Amino acid sequence: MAEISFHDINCELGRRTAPRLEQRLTTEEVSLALNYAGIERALAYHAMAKEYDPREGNDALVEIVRDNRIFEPCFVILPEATGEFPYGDALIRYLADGGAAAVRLFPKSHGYGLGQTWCSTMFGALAEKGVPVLIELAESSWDEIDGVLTHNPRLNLVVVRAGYRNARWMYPMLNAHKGLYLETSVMMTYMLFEDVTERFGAERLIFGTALPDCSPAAAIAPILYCDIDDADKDLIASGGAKRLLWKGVGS
Amino acid sequence: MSDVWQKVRSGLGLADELVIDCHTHMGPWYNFHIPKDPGPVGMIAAMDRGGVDNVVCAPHVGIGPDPTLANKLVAEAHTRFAERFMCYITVSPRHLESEMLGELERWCGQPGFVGIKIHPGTHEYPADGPNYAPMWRFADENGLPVLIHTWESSRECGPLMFVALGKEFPGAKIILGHSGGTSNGMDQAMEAAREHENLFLDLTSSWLPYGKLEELCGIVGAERVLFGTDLPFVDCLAQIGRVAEARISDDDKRLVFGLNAKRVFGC
Repeated sequence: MAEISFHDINCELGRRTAPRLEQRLTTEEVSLALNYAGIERALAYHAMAKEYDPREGNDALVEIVRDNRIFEPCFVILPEATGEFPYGDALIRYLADGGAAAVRLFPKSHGYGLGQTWCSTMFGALAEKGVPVLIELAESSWDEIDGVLTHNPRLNLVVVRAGYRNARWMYPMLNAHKGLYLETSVMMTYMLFEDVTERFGAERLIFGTALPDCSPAAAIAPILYCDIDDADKDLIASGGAKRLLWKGVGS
Repeated sequence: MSDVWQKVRSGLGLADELVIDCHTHMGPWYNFHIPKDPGPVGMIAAMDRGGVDNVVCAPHVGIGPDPTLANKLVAEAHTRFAERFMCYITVSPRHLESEMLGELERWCGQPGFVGIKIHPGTHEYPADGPNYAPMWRFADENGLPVLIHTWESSRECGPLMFVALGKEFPGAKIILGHSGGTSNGMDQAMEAAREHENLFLDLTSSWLPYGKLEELCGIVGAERVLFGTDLPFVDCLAQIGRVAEARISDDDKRLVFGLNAKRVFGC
């Protein structure tokens, strides 16, 4: 087996409201866990951006990333209607200035919908500039995500933490939407890596760990040992993330 | 770095380690798609990817409507692949007691049969209810392992109810499937296992919480933690990574991966 490098796109940093003791990791401990598992890079958001205030969380994340080069920022943002976040070019400048490689939305936790009424301007700007959007399945629904991609066919959207009962939902959507990607941390469906690779291509699967909630090795082993060729394993483990993540204005 | 983790991380796998999966099924399931072949041949291919030597199996149909069919199917799988499949006798509390006892007596002692499987969740009946009593007496008298689906605080199968069952039926080896499922459920499973030495913890889980395996081994002892995956309900590979990378000794990993199951099932 060729050496495979891993690039995590689903990592959380910072203090959380109610962490379990065994999952209450400092940034250094998350970094060590990634290192021990042999993961070279991690796209991370800050827990404060989800559980307190997106702007303050994003600012805290930028500080962390400055001193920990293993991490790259994933900014949490909101739609613009309430005036809490900019829109259009100003939104893109905000992301570029912070070095964000992607954005993450928490519509259920933050109290808004993903439909056109709430997010059309935001998704339009992100799609135009090629900024990928990460959304945890528990924060939305397959129906709602189907609507987002139908109205924004150029948007790259990664569904995060889709568990093992989802193939009947996912497969028609992978057929219908070229911009749909699936993060793999808890994707424990039997032989799913083989089946999705065969039907839709390995580039639709993007490696993630769900640290500090989940074991990073549990995310790595299915890619190392699934029955697909090494080039496809590379795509899932890191190639897809490198291609998908935003490199800034003008990229 | 741990030798076991180094082998797994470098792609060498667990070919030279004993790996016994104590919690598997077989065949399709109604409310989601299982890709590829979930039958014995497909399962062996799935097991071979990660170095799983042997599984103890209760086909899906048995935790659903027809345990009798499940017992026939797993007996056939053992006949075809004796080195790869061991068998649970699956029973349901929702049909006649005579059927339950008939299945237990028919299959106990037959080649490959090493324990009993019950699923109080899908059968919607509490594990300590009277319809299960003949099964518990049978397991107790015959010294059999019983794998039970358990879940946090469930009336049917919350881990804490097995403290009393363990005391009442000391001859049975009670395996708490999923160790209570959630992180809180795992806390309850650990509490129960500390109360009674004949309770064992099965790792099967559809998500693998960071740090919890270390806690299970630290509090209850690695000698009572069993490797399980739910194959093919879910895949087995993630669980292999989780155990291999855990911050426990390699000796403890070997107990969890297979040596404990070898002792508990007498195989």
